[in-house]
Amino acid sequence: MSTHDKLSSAIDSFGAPENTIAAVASPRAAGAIGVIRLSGPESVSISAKIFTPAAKNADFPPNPRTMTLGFISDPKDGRRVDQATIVFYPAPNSYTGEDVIEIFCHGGLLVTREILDLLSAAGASPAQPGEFTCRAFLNGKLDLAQAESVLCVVNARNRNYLDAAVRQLDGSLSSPVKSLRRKLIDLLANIEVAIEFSDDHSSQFSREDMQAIILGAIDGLNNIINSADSVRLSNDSLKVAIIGKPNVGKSSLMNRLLGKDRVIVSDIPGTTRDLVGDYIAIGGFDFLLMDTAGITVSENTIEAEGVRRTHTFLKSADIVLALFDGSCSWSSDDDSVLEAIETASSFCLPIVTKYDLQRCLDISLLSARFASSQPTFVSSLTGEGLKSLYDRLNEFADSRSRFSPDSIILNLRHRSLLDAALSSLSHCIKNVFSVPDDILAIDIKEAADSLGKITGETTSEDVISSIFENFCVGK
Amino acid sequence: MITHIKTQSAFHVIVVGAGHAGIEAALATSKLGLKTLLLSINLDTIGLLPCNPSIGGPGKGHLVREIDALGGEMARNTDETYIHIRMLNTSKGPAVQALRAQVDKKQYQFRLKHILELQNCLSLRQGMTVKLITHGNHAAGVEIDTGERFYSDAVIITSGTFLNGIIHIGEKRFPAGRLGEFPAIGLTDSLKESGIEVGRLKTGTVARVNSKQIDFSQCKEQKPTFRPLTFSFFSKKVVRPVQRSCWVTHTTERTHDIIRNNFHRAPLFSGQIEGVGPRYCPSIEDKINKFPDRLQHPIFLEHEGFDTNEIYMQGLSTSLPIDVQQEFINSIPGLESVEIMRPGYAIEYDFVFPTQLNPTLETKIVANLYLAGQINGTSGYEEAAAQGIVAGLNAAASILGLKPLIIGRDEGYTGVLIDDLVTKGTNEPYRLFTSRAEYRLSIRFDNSDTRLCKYGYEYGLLNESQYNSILEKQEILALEMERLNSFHVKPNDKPAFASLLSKSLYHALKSPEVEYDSLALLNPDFIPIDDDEIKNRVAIEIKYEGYIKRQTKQIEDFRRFEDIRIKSDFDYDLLHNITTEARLKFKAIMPISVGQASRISGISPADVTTLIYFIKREKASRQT
Repeated sequence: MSTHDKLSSAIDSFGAPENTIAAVASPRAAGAIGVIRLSGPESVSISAKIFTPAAKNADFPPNPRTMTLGFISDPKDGRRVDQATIVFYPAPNSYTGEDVIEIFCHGGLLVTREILDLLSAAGASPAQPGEFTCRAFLNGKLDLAQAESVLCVVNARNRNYLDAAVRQLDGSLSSPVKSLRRKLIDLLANIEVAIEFSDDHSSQFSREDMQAIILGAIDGLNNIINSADSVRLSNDSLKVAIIGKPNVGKSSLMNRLLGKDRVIVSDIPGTTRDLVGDYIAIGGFDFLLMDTAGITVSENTIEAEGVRRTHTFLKSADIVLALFDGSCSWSSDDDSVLEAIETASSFCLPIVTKYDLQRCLDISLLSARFASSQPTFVSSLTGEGLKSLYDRLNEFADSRSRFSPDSIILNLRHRSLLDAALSSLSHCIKNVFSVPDDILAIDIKEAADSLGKITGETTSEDVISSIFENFCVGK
Repeated sequence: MITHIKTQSAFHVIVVGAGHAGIEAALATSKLGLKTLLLSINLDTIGLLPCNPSIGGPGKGHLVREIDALGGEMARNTDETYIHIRMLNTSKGPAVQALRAQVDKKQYQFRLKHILELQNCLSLRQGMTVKLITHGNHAAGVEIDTGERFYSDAVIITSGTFLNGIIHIGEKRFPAGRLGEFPAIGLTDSLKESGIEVGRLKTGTVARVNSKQIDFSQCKEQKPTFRPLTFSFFSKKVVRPVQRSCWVTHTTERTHDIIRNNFHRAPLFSGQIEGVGPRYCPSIEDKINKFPDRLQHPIFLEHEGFDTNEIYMQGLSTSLPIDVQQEFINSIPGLESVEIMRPGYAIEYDFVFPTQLNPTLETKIVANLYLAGQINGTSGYEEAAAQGIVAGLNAAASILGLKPLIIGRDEGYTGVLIDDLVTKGTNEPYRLFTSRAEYRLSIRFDNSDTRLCKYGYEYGLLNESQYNSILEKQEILALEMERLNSFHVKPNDKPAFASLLSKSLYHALKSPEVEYDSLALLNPDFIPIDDDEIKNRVAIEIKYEGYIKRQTKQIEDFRRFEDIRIKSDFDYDLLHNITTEARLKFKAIMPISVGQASRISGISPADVTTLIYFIKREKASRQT
């Protein structure tokens, strides 16, 4: 599919342009505040059906860009759903360039969902992903590059990715793609000059030469795609597994790191029987913390299942925090923990817990096992040692996500164009010795066209120019 | 005060200029029964081939076949008058093969002139057109140098290199339409007064010499193939018994030294020539300047006809002074003792920026005024003729109330040519290359007739029996493909074909080692069809079936945007988020479809997306 096709079908998939669209703008998770955004000519009249200002005789719509307190209620039966504030951004001075209403309600999936349903019943269409940005673009509030970079920035989960996203706007993607494309254009010009000026010219390249050039281009494309893939992977949240024997203090550390009571903590070993995860941001990086069931040999089937899940998760974790109880002496469960780490390929940080208590653990056992990484001593009770744990997590995340200055971030459009170019060239290489020049040129031109759509160049003109620059032609 | 001679005559169409564009235009309108006047500065130069005496080649040859399918004359005229014909690019693939013929220059002209003289509804008249007559923003007729005025419903201007033509030979420069002919003075001013913008281009040609003075023993001979090849579907497939060879020689280091030592006398380098010349057909001084490392350039010696000794020296186009021309020609092996009969020269002329035209070749500013050929910035007889027949058919369509003829880029090179001109414009003489076509495997030389004959028939330039004969051939082709499916490969003693055993012949033909003619070896019961064209078509359609299908799919995608039409009164000011530059371009080109809009240079996908959005929005609001 061409770029135009994609853009056009994207527009097709959006509602009729005169529709008013609505969506939950805050993350789909529990939070303190939920935001619901409406955009379109009916924004005011639709929201008026479900919102009642608290102050008597208050105007609706309220003054632009000021907050008005009121209630959301179901127009069918007058039932109050939530207390909320509302802000009106009249066209064209809004994000989308249309009349926009934003409703700030209490967070929570249920409440925001219910308000969205009320708006739908009142005449709003649910917005497709990206539809607000698309309208902003179509109404001249954003250009295409900005629209694409907005999506990148929204999706950025770490600061190195963000840097690369910003750099992309200066064309860091363009240069490797351009030079690859240039090679294909030169090859095409060679083939074409022999076709158009067959009296004066025969191709300078043998099929073996062409094969080598095309294979080189395939390698180049794969490099771009792979480097982009590693950047994309590094933008995912880092998965942190907190493991250790039962009652070593995994859940306490998790709660301490999160700064809230996320996990039930008790003195009873084996309180946590399943994986419990939550997100945390440290120094510009996103982490997914995962509390796990304590590692032990257990007869209890539920506990055994918990241990099995811990092992499974370990395989996909980026970082393992291996916890050892500083207040106990070494046990056979600690050996099991060390065994479990053996199977994980991830980065492992040994942590000695309960720093506030008398130390009984012989840490020389740990030093022997973790030669490169000294244990970190923490107390979840007092918070001692947490700073140094944060630092080490941060350091690792930074090194993991740091990529060369010419690393590339691909949006979906770029990625599919690169894939298309790759598939054209793969097809080409299969037939490089069995088809005539004009047929061979079809695949090469297709690949150059796909790359040209990234860099905004057109192939036909470039091939013809290249012929005139590099070959002496003319009858 | 000038008194104009009143004339009674009123025409449907007036065609100005009787070159390759004018001839096809005038034949098209008159064959459709419209009273047509064809004006030429000199009736003895109708259909002249002022540069190389040859027709066809990749791209250009495709155009000739398309003109034939539309019902034009160029293909038949070439078939009747060639002196050497061969298929080019046979080893380079099905999409780029095309015929090229050298023709007898005089026979070519005389036959065309006679065809015009015999044509009903067509008046030939000698006279230089000096003025376009308009009523409001409509073309209404022309005035010629005698003061006579002719009125018509439509005017087609095909002025070639004549508009304010200036010839350069070394330091010498003088007004001329071609060497030995008057330029057309006055018409440019008249076009400018109507608001049409013009620019300046340059082209050139080589010196001619006498074959009796050439030592052919020093040249390599290229013999004709003597095969029954024709451009036209309707010509008899016979071998012309008498043909002429072409001869190849080359420049020497001494040639290059002579030219280099005289760069300061070359109008091209001295700044004497302002017009932009074609990059693909550079003069010899240009080649030596640009590619100093090349030690020699090939020169092709071509006969200009059966009844003349004049030799065209392809590769030696020049505007150097005559004494330099004489000296460097004599430094070429075989040409040591030749004397120049006609010097090479460069010519500058006015052209109209073709983005001022609709895809019908009608100007946007002056209704019923059509332009075709070099005036639109093209070069080449074939490019001119293709535009001529399209301009003629569209002028006729407009008078007769038929729908306009707009050939898609997916339908033929004629479509590629015109779309490039009116959408992108040009600032050098435009030549068609096969690489300009996105779907060249689908618009081949061999299938031109089936691609475009429907238009020839619809507009009436092909009669029923001509049309049916093309359809018949199409049917034979389909039957033959089916027949190949019903025969299977039998055991044979060719180890190369062992893997094909018991596969259908259709399947076997896909293998690169198998040609149509070897099919009988694979199954002795199979009797090959006795028609070279069908054999060739069948082999192409089957061997490249996968690629052709892929291209068909791409054409479907391409069509989606061609089929979103834009009304001529569409308000581009609605698109407030596109750049001012993009808006100005849209307004100037007035694209007829989103597809055309997307091809305007400098228009981004974002601009096109916005355009689609607002077209849809407008449609939606009109429906409610």
